Amino acid sequence: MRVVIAEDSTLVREGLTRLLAESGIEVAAAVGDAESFLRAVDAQQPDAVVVDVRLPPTFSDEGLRAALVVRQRWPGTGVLVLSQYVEERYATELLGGRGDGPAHRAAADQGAGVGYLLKDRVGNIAELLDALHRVAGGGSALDPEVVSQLLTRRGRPLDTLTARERQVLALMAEGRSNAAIAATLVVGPGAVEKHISAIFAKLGLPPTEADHRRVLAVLAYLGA
Amino acid sequence: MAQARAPPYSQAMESAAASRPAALAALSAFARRVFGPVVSGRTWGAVAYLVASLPLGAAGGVVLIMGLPVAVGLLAVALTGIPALILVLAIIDLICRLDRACTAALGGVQVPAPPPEPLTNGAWWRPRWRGLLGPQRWLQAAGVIALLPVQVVGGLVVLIFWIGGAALAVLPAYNGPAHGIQFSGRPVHGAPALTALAFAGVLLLLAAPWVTQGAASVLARWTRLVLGTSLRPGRRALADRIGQLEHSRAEVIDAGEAERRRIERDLHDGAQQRLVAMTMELARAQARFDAEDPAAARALVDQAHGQAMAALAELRSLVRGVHPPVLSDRGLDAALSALAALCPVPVTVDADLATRPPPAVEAIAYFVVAEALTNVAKHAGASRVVVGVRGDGRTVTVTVRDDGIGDADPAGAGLAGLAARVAAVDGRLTIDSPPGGPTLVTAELPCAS
Repeated sequence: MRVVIAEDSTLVREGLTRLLAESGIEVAAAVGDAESFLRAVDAQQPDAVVVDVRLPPTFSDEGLRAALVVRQRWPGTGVLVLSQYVEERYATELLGGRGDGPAHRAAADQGAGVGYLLKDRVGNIAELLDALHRVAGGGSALDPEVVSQLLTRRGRPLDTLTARERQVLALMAEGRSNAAIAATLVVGPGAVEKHISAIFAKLGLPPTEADHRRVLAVLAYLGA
Repeated sequence: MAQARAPPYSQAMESAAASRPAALAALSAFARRVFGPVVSGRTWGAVAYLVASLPLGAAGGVVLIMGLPVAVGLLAVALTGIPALILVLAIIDLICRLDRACTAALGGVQVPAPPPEPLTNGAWWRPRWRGLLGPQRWLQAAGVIALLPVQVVGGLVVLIFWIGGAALAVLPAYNGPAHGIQFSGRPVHGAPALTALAFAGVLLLLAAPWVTQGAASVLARWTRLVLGTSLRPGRRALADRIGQLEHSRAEVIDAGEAERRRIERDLHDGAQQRLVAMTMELARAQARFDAEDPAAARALVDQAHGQAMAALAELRSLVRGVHPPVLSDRGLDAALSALAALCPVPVTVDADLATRPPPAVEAIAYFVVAEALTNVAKHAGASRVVVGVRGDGRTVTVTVRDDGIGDADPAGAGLAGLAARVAAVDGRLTIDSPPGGPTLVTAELPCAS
């Protein structure tokens, strides 16, 4: 897999480059600002990009906006956004779940992989690589913290779910596949499928198979 | 029977025994009523008050009646009249302070002193000018004049009732010439006349306590009225003041917000990134251990260790910039010494504080010095710095003087932020930095309670 990294802190950029390289991922370019990031993506056509939300010059959300541009212009490229803080508002903008604009919707429809993780997760190589592979493969990776923000914000209808169903819903929202959910909860795949159909029935969601669409459905329901 | 007779008997015995002490007690009670006031502390306090006030009033009158025309005359000739006027009003101010102290200590009435001029009213010289020659001072001068007649009457009361009364009372004992003594220009002789005068003297003495206390009370109240009244600021001045307060409040809010953003940026760019880098190095080290390559893992752990140390150092310096713990624990002197030790340019700290200022003033004084020293280190090219802190309980004055190249920009972000913080406590920041130096930064911070 080939990736392009955009991260303004030299320290983190170098570390990330080495870490990915040592894990067998080719880092095609590692840059420090949004403009050179977009140029690098254009030139390298990577399988996935890793972007920090805050980039120069204003250090507000340049990285996020650059990520949206990538999603719109190169829909086949998986986008993994890293941030010191995760905000569900950023997550929904990124996923285009709320339909902020035609570009977002188009990107969502084309099923480009997208992920949004707390920067802390880079300390866990397996987790990071799993997320990166998921977004490169067109899936999603949402930080559990964002998911829990969404789950707590939406109150009452979720009360009808059992504790186990809520666990499954959270993992689904993170972008996990049925198999991954089964492995995490140490249950059989059949049990997971049963839970999922119960959740979809209780929340009145149309049943769907593809992981990414499933995430969007869940997020749409959660009011994201 | 014996019991029935016993009570009248014993009662009679008791009343006989008690009759003499009862008479004595009545007599001593009468004596206390009549002579008690003559010797009571309150009476003599009042006498002392009246006696002490008279010379103060006289001095004030003399200074004003002689000094003012001279000063005004000089004013017409040359500007030397201005220092003379300032001197006259300063003496009057001193007399007023003594009058207030005297009225509080002996007259038992607290006379409020006029509030100090606000530091931030207009240009830097205006509050000082108003302090020296302003309307409040002229009001005090008028008060001194208004006080004078009452002080004179008080003095006369003491003279007539105490000295006159005592003199008349002892007249019969006076071994005067045979043809009698002169009293009000007429000769008085013969026992009846002398006895009548002595009796009048005793009456004066007996009345003296009441009259004295009354006069003292009138003088104390009058003093509070004429010296305790401060000029109410006019509508215009109040409007100006409100404008200033709104302005300084807005600046403080902005400065606070900018400060929080700066802290967030510092944390984000510094310690947080180091910790992220550290977790990555540790993760890579884990992978190396798993791959049974302990030497490479060891090198990565060393790197992570270095990151942790650097993150700690960054957090430490950030905390010091937010609020140095030593400032709240040990006060300004200790905190400034620590600051001086960190400055690359040699710094002498000379702190002399009568009392510990309020925490807000301490913090602002600290940041004034911190910012000034940062600027000195960055721009001034100075070889030495002297930091001075003076506090008299009412104002803390902070000075930072360097021998550098000068030409500091008061509108620069750091100094402008400082000025806003200083203005928030009604203080004033002045920066004197001519091209070529030296630079003197002064902050005056009132310790309002």
